[in-house]
Amino acid sequence: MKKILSAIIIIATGLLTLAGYLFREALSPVLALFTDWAILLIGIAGILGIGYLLRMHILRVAKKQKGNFYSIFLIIVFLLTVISGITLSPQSEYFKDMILNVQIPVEASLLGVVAITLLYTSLRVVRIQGWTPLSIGFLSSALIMLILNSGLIGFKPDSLAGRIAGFIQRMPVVGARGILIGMALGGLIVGLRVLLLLDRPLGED
Amino acid sequence: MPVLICPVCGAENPISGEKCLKCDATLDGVTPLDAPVEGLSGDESLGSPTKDEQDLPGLLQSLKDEGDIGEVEESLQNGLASNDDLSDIFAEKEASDEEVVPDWLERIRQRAKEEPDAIGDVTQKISAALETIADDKDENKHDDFQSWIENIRKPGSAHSEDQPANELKKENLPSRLSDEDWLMRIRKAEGKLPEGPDPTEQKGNSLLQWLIALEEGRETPSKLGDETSAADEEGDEFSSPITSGDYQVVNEQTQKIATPFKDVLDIDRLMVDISDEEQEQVNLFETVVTQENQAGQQHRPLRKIKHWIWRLVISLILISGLTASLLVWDNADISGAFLSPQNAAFLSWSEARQPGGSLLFIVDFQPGYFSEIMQISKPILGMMLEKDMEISLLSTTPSGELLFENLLAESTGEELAFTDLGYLPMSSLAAYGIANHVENELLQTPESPIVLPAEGYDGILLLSDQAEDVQIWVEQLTALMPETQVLLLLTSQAGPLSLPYWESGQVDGMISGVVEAAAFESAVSGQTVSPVGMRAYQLGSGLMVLMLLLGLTLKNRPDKDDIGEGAQ
Amino acid sequence: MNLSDLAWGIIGLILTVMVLSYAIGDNFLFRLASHIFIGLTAGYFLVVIIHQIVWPYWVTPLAVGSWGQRAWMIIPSALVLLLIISQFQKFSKLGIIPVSFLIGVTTAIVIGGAVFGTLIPQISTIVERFEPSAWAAAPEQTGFLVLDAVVMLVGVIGVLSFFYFGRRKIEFPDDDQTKRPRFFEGLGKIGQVFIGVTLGAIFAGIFSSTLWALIDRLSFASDLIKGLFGGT
Repeated sequence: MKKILSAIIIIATGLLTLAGYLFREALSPVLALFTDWAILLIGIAGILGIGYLLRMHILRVAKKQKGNFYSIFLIIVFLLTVISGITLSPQSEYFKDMILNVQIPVEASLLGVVAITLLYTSLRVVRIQGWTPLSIGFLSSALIMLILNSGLIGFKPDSLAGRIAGFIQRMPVVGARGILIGMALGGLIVGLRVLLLLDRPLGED
Repeated sequence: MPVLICPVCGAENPISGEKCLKCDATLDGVTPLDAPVEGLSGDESLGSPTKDEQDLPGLLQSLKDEGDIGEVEESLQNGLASNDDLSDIFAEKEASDEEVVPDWLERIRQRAKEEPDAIGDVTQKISAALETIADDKDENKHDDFQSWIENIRKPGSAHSEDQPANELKKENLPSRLSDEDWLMRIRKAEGKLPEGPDPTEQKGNSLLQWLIALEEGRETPSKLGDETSAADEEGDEFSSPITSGDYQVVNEQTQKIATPFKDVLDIDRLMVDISDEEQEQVNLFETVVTQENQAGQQHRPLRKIKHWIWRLVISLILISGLTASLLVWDNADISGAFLSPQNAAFLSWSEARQPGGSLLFIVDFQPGYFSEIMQISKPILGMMLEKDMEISLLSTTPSGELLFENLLAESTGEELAFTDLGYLPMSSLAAYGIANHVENELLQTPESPIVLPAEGYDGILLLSDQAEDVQIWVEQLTALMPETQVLLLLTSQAGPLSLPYWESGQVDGMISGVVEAAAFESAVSGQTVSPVGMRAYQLGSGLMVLMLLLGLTLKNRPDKDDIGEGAQ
Repeated sequence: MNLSDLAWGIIGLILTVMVLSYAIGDNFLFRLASHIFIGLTAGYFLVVIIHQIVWPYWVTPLAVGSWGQRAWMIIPSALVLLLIISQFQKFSKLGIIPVSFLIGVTTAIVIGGAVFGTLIPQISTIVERFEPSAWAAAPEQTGFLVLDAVVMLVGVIGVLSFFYFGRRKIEFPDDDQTKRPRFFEGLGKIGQVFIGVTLGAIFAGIFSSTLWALIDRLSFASDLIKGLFGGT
């Protein structure tokens, strides 16, 4: 019964949503309902996810597991943020400052660490990969793009050198187009298999 | 009734048990076995060794449980004392057991008559089992063994007088003896060559050492592979893996007890028949394993430190270089930055906007990319605000609204009003939702989150840091709102995979990365504009080019980091 | 710089140093900063969801909507309740209904986007490059345009061949090699080069973005320190 119900829901909502691409004007009211419901469900799923995260850290503190010291900080900051957001409202200047003055420094610094790591690992790119068509293409492209994107060397687009440089710079687009078409084909096949019930994303037999 | 035999101590446990009642070891994954039935003869319970390789602890336990160990032990000792083949030991025991001869023993006897090496396997294990049990049961027996050993080693004793087995081995397998040379070399290479007595003296008792260690839980069956390979090198199927450091932990007492069985195991050497080819393969395998172990053990900490130092040095060079360039140089040369076709298209679109139009900005980037997105969107925002455009905002990141407020404030120097359409948690749903939220009577409450103008927008500008999100947005907007103009303001990393959408005409303009943004700003203002930090950016890019080139040259050197010096 | 800005600036600087300390290895400061960040982000996410999703999409229509709108809210309310109830072990199977709904909607969006948003436009673009009228429009660039079109076609087919045969090699290692058309095998090798070129450009892009983020942090730190010690 559950399997049948699940199949009916997937096919009905899927086909109706798909039909929206062809008959948008006619189906717009229903599709708007669908998207609103889906947005609400994803929001609730997000709250449940936060609940699980919090539960895990509370249990870690309660059981005095490894890393409970960090979990205490996490819980305190979480509660502080939620209380501030609810009492002061998200439009409060203090609340906005608190969010951005933590998020931007931490995330940007994490990206900085990635930059350092990339610089370090670039030493070993060839050693790990060896000489293959892929690694040759990768290295030559990375070098050319880094040089051309630095702004130090450039050619006027209407000159011969500019045309050649433009042609070289467009080489990644070829692979990118292939990758995009490949991804779209993959998405199409997987999606059709789900809608035709050949694949069971929920894992039921 | 099936029971679970503890893999550590060999004790019987109820089938429902999760841990051993005796030693508290876990019983997960232990296959249930039938318990020995009361009254069953010792020979019958010993019938199990047909699968003995897997159930050795079970065998040990069943021997313990039988209670006639003493008799077997005595027979074994007698047999050794008279220097007979072990089949005779069993023959004696059998004679004292009222002629109850189990099939397996009969087969062994038969084979022992036909081929002298046929009983080796069972004998080995029983010997090991006896030894282990003797160790458990009575410390005094150690003394007995000791005196017995002394007797056995006296010149002229029966045992030393006649050793046809060893002689046979030496005659038939001369190459095996010479193999000790390469083993010694491996041991030397590993630095595990024992000082003092010749390690080959211990070869005979090595199986016992291993079995005892195994039963005492000091060794795990998983090491069997290594041991076997090491043993094979010596031309002895059960000889010691002295090459492995773990095996040297066998205590002295155990070695003493095990010594009497040296000769028994010498007999077993006859049973091994390895071809030269197999020997070479084992040799090669052992060499590789030895080198890997050696390299891993000796160079892992060193390699870790080396990597750490390298990483630290590179970090310091990058950070100090960037900081210095930020402090020292204000302006960078960006004469090589030209407007690419997609940038020029963006500029044309911007200039063509009529005052008072409406724009929808979609914020789909993480706060970490704020600085880059700000550099990229600053000239556009300035142009649009000059034309008094109406701005709406839709976010697919939770902090999108805050980021956009800051973006406006830092780009124009003042706080500007905009219509916030809210936060939508998924790009695909958000894109699909936008297209279907025009004039929807079913949903529009006074506080509806998304209220789009029926006439649509003059343009939708997507600020993104991920090519995957760009793909989703462009796909949906192309499919559902093909008449709307879509423009992209992207970080460098999102650029390459998004370019095909500009080439296909699905996107009307695109700026990706700070260099393109600088070229755009220069074109708008009519003079070269170099953002703060551009020199540092060029320096960082130069460092990356240098590292990639350095990586190419390092490739030609022996790769000590990856395979270790031991492999050279 | 007012006091509030200064305080937040110092907090930002401390967090920056804590995270960048990861350059010398995983340590206490980095972990602490990470946990503070996760706690704050999770808390903010919760506040945003309540304010921007739960309230306008659920509570408001039920509270101030017309009777018709309220009636329409029965279905999403039921789906939400089923999703919440399904978190309890006993009722876990009830979650199938809301999840099936989400799967149906998102799968259709993926299919629609892939077909109408990528496959048709991108393949059309490749075909259009072989239009002789386009070549004739710029006679001085005909050579480039023809070369460009051929490279585009060969490259895209090569990349797709690599995807197909690369996957087959992994999934069916014992597959009869002779059954594979050698032509597509060769194209797959060409495709490898183009994928490498694209990945190289993406690598350069990622490095540029992360480098700019690092420069931003260093610039922020040096400005703050200069401000604190009276520099310019």
